[in-house]
Amino acid sequence: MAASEEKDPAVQTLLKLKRYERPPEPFFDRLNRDVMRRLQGPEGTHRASLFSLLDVEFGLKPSMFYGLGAVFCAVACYGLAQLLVRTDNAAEADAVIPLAQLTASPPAHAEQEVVRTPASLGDFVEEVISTGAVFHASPPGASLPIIRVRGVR
Amino acid sequence: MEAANGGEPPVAGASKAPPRGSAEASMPSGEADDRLLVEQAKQGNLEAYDALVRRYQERIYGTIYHMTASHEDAGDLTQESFIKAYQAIHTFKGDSSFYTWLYRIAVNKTINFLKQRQSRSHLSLNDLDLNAENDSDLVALVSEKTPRRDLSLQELQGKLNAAMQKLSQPHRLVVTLHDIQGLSHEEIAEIMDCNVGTVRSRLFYARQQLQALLSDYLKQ
Repeated sequence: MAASEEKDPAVQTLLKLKRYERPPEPFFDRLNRDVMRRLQGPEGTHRASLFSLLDVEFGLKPSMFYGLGAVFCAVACYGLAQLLVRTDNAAEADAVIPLAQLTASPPAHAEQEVVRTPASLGDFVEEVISTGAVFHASPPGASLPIIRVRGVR
Repeated sequence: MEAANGGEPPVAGASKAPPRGSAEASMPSGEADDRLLVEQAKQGNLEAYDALVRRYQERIYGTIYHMTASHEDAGDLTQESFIKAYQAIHTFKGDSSFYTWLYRIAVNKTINFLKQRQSRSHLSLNDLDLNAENDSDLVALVSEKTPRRDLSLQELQGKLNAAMQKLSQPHRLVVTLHDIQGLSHEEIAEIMDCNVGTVRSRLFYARQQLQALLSDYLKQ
């Protein structure tokens, strides 16, 4: 739609005045010379950085990049902290306790790792079923596996 | 590189000829020629880029000048825009025309500059071209339509610029690109990265504001 089709002729006529505001005569020759002189120097061989390209495309300014960087760092730190906390909890939950203590006094040695070999295969299966213990590993030369109990403190 | 300038229509706000209409402004000469020059500039041909600078410097300067109302700032920002465009020209894929891409760089640079400059309200206006006094519309505006008949064109220029500076940046930009530079709504939408409806509504609102701000100087 051309400007003349719109309905504010007075304002548009007045705005026409702006088109007559012009710089002094040799201004554009000088401007052109200055641009070319700068491009013949180091600025001419410099290629735009990633930030600069984003600026070109989206008009992002440096402070926005710094802000985005700060947010990214904050999120990364939070994620790392969460990961450490979870690892610690998992290690605690993974503590091995003797089966006998499940019925007696479990909290006393909750953090202590105890290796125990059931007397027979039948005992082993029974203990696994009744306590929820899980098969974990067999020491060299052992005929039966170790019992570990997960998640019980 | 004179050939690059051949056939170029008078540029709003810069040439001696009367301002062009929006239809002329919407059709930059030699878009194919632009592509050729851009390809050569990508290979490092500074002469080709020089031709592009000569072709568009007055329009880019005009847009920045009307946004900043400062001759010095407009000169600096125009230079910076062309330098930045050259450094990023290898990323120009030709999806849009070169001059809308260039406009976008200049506009983004100007808006960032204006955000930083908000506290400063120094205006350094260019003088009116003498041809303004021969423009019948403007003469009529001053001598017949303006209630304050003793107002000169220069005084009117000052009032108009003050009113323009009161518009928000997006509104000022739309008025500058459409009513002064003569770009189409579609081109402005591409430059401002918004839809055409937004451009139209901003233009409508900006004109209403100008009308209100300049009501003393405009006959209703």
